[in-house]
Amino acid sequence: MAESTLSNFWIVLGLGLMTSAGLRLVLEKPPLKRIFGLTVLSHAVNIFLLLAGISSTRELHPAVLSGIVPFEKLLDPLPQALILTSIVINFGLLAYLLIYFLTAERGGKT
Amino acid sequence: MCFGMNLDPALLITILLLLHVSSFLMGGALIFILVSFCELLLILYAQPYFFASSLSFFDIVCTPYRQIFGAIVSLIALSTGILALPSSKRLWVKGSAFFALLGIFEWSCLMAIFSDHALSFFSGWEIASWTSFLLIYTGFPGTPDRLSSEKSFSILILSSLADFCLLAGLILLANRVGTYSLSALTHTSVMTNEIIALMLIAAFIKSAQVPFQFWLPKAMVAPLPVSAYLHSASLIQLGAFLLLLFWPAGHSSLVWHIGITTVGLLTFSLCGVFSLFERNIKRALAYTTSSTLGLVFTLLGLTHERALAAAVLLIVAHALYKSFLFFCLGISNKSTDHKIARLVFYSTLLIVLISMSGLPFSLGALGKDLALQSLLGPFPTHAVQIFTWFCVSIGMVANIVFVCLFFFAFKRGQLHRVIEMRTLTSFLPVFSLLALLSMGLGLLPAWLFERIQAEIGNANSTGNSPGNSPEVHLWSLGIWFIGFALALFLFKRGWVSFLRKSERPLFEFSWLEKLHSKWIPSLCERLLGNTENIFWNYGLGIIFASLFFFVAISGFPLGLPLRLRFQNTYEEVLSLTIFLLGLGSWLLVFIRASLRQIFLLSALGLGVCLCFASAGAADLVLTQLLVEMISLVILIFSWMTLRPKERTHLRLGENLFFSVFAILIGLGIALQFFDLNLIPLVKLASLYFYEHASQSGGTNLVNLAVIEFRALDTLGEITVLALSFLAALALFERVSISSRHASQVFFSVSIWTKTISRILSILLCASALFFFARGHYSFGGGFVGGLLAGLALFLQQIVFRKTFQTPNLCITGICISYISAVTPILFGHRFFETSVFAIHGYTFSTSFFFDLGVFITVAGSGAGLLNLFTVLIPKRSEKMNG
Amino acid sequence: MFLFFILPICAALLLRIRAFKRSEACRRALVLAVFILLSLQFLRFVAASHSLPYVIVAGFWPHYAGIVWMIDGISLVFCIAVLVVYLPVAWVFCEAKNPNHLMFLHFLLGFSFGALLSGDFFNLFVMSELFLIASFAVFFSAETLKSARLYFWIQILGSGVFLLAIAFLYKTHATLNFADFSIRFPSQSEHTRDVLGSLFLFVFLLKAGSFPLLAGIPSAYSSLPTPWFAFLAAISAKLGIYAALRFLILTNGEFVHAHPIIFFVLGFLTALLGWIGALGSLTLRKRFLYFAISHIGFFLICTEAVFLAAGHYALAAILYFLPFDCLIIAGLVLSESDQKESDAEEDMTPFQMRWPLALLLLAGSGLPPFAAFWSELAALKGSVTSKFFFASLLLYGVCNLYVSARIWLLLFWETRPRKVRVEAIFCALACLFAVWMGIAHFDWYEEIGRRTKEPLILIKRFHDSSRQIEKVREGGR
Repeated sequence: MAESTLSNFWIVLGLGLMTSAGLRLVLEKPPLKRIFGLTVLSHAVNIFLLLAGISSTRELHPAVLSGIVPFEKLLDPLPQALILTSIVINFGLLAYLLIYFLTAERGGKT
Repeated sequence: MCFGMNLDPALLITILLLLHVSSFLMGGALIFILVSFCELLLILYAQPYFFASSLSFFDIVCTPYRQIFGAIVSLIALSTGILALPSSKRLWVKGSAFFALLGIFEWSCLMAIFSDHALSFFSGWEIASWTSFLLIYTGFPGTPDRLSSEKSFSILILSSLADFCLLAGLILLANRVGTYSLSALTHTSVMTNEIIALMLIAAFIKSAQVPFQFWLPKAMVAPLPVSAYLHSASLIQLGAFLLLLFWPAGHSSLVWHIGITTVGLLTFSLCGVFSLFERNIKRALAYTTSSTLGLVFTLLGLTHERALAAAVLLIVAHALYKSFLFFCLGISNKSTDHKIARLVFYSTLLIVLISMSGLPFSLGALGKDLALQSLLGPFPTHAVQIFTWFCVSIGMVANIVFVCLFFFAFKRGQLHRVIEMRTLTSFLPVFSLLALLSMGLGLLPAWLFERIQAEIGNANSTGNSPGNSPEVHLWSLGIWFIGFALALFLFKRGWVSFLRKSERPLFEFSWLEKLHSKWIPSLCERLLGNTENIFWNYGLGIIFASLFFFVAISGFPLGLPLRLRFQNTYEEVLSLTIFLLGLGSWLLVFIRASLRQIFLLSALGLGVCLCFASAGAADLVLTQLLVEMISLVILIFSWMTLRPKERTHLRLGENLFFSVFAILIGLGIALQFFDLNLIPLVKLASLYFYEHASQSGGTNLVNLAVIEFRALDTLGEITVLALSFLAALALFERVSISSRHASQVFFSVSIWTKTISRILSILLCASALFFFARGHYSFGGGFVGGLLAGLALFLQQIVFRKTFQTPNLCITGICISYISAVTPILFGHRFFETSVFAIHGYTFSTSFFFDLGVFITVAGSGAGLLNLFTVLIPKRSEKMNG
Repeated sequence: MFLFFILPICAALLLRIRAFKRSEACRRALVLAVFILLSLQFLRFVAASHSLPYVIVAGFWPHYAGIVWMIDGISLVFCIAVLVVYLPVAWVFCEAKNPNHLMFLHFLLGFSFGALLSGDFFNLFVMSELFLIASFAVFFSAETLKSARLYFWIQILGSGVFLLAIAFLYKTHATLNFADFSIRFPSQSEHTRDVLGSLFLFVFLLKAGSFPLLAGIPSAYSSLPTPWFAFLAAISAKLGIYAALRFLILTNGEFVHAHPIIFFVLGFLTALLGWIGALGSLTLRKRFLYFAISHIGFFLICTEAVFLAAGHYALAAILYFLPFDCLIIAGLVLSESDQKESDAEEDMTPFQMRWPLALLLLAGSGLPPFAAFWSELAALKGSVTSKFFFASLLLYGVCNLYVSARIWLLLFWETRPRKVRVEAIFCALACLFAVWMGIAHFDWYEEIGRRTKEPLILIKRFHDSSRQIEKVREGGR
């Protein structure tokens, strides 16, 4: 099959929709919804990072099926490390933000 | 240099400055007087020479004209210091901000006068401006008042415009000539008209020429010594000095000649007339100052050297008589009841008035004489000649009228009604005044003429030098008689303006003060209020708009060709997953109920997990799965408190607008991303990882990348986690909700729960250790293990009410990581360097300790954060009470 | 060089020990020790500045695979700026009851050094995230939480876009390292260069607090306790300016050449907002904050001038003024503190009680011989060739002077005179150092500016360090 270097329509559309949904949610007023938006945005960014590591569809072509290359060696390791860092940082941020809003609520009442 | 000393000018200048600055702390008045005296001596005995310094900034050049200006500045400073001595002797030795600032002012004038570097000249010029501004605030003699500080603010702004013009001119000129040395700049021939115009504006503003003359009367709100020194003898003259300095370079230009002479003549006549109509004696004197400087400027605009000499003589005479006139204004003639003191006072005043009016045998007369002779010169047209002589006549008549009126009013004893009185209680100032004046008039002319002769001695033949014509003498005499008669007439009729004692000035320009103190602040207040409102309400929208702008700046790749078909199954799975994720996230926007949104969010997270899986990233799958689970738990916890109570929808219009906006940005970003078509580039890092992985003793490349190659990022990442936990804890402690233990349990624990929890926690611990241990070789690692261990700890805390010191656990983990990073240095390796050992056939890498630190930190922070959430949700009893 | 990062973190962690929590003298000793050690290190670099830039590799991997840190003239000056503000703020915190303040200050110090010294984009991202989270922790009390909401969201969005930009970067350049990025950047297509430039500069301008991205800053910062306000107002924007400057230098000013208007307009609008705010605010703290914002506008205009007109003069202007600007802002804010009024200085005149403020405002106003004058002069000298920049810098100078003088007037008449804090006096006296540097040693900054405008030296050092590692590897260990 001839290799095409054009980008995939569905991926573009999907990522675009996800980023925009995240941005849209951040514009809401209640803080909880904004946090949802933040989470969606961070997912979108993680997928951007993932796709940055795949330069052509050749790398998705599984040597896995034929067993020549082990599973872990498919994808660029560096973006994976970046995504790992990003997941952890976003989790820390999420937890901190939630506690921030919770204490703001509770602090207002006590 | 002088007195046989061979001192670096930089050192000398610094020492003088430090002496003046020390007046802030002690010995204020005395130090000022002593240092001014020393400076005067230095100047009087200096040899005309160029003194280079170790820093070219401090180069000094001493020419005869500079010596004259410098001598005047220090002489009047000395007199001011003596006359402004406070009455009590104790205050002579106390630190005084007034005398210190006056000293710095004098120092800066001298630096401007004697320096050879354009920038130190400018620095001296500008330091003089701001010290004169600050002098208002020192509260001499009493408490400072707000109105005068507002006026002096307006003056500062005007003079700073002048200063910036000068700076611009100097920089442009220095750029053309290529050096900053004033000797080169003032003798160059490349002055363009713009540069000349800039310098002229600076000079006109500084010396209060038309149309900028209005600031000088305003400045008369300053205390008397300040007016006497600054506004008659030093600050005012800097403009004339600037023109004198650049005369060699500029006098051949038409702009110079026409500009300066016109403005000078207009000032001489107009300000002379204004001085007669001004209602306050100090302001009237200010106008006479402007007027005399107008004549000086006219002379500086001419092209022959004798005009320069005339200008300098006029300046010297003016400085002496004007400042002493101001001093006399400050002496009450009621308090000087001692006969000798009164005699001294009257004779001083007489000498001053004679000099001011230009009666023969006074310095002023000499100056006016020379001036008139210089103005006899050839005129280009008849109209110009008439204009010149008309202005000159009016100016001179006005001058003489003023002096005569002043004399009559003084003789009649009417002046003390309108003058501010400051009693001089001791003899010392009065006698010093006399001594200085006689010294000035006796010794000074000889020294003065010697210097002037040195300057123009060889240049007698340049230009058109007018001779000594008898018509000039006759004409002056005629002017004198006319002036005298007019003054007598006005005085008899009682039309003397400055005796009216009215506070309203002739030209108010009070809109300037209103502009600065009312209009601009209120405008700014309103603008700021509006801006802050907009920011608070629409802040995020503005950020989005900027993001859109930045993304759109490079154009949207709208014609981007996109592929609809898939090339293999993995790509198919990946793209369909991503597409479904996109749709799902928009579904999230439309669902209103928060709990459903939370579950949908978790589903999205699992979808992302699927993406990672279809791309083959195993570690990411595990981490994302665990993080998603924990996020679900904490989101539900927070939902209990944070759920939006009322329906907070956006209005439909806003809703639509935001949605469209967000779609544009999101699609834009995605399109930009995919339009970035690659030149196939070598992935340096990843190739390196592939090749050198075996040397690090592991086979899981992602783990290696995380723990070894990019370990510093991981260090940062666990610090983020630990910090967010510590910060949350600090927040929590601050808002001081009572108990911290997980004993605020919100459900009762049955025996089934306990059993299952026991089993679960053992399983979790086991899997945590398993994944941690195998991280180096297969997917797993410190993060995954840590998250699992954290969950196990949390389970123990919540079910069995055990307390673990999670902050300390966190910090221990971080310490282990940092220590394992630093330890290689102790063994002579680099920071973060890892070594591989073989123990019993197994390869063991020292990065294991780093991973251990990661494990402990993640476990501690995870458990701690989850625990915090359980404490923060409202208890059932609280919910019932409200 | 890793000491710069490790030492403050250690100090922060040490502060959790009970001995430090209880004894004030111990804390002061720790602060002094940290300051002296770090400043000795920096002085060593200053003395050896002809051999800058230094590159240090972490671990034993070449620069494109591992983490490298680098220090060149720009990072050195920025680091010194952070350090000089650290001392007075830490000194104030030593007497605070809550020991967490000092701990977070040390964390912030370590993280800002980490960000300023990093040699690749992802490390810069991680360090900025750390700085951000640590600075979030500073907003402790109830009303600060409410007023800081917008600021939090904006910063979080900014870091999201930063990560996005890194994704873009990796996709197109396949490297994260500064040196390799700089080598590969010119060979990309124009569209790629544009997109990358705009994304990264959006983030960096957001961190730097330029208009209109400073939406959350005024309300957030002005509700902080005074020492935190001093530190954050002085430092947090400087990290953004550093990042923007570094990015532009690595790409040789590509974005500025392609879109010259943007930087200039943003810089000028920032300065304008700063002036309006300084003149129209109702409280003194907000005035100082807006004054700081107007200086950021100056830095942005000069950044553009570096690439469009002036070259090394404008860069020297930025570098020279940076530490003193931080000192001025910190000193002004610290002087306006809630210290109990002491009546002991009855016979001092109002002016004598306010001389540190006068010095600080003189330093910030552009009057010779103080700090701001030399930097404005250098910027003017460099922009002689471009009439537009020359005129706008002159206009900036006039307005800056106007606003400073106005602030002095208001300070003098609308506040009651009281004894000024020791820390503010320290800042005022440290600004006098600017006079000596400006007159005698300005050419040091010009030299740094000249050298930094050629990133080739930096790239060469990066590659040299990697080649060394590879040689050792091949030779066996």
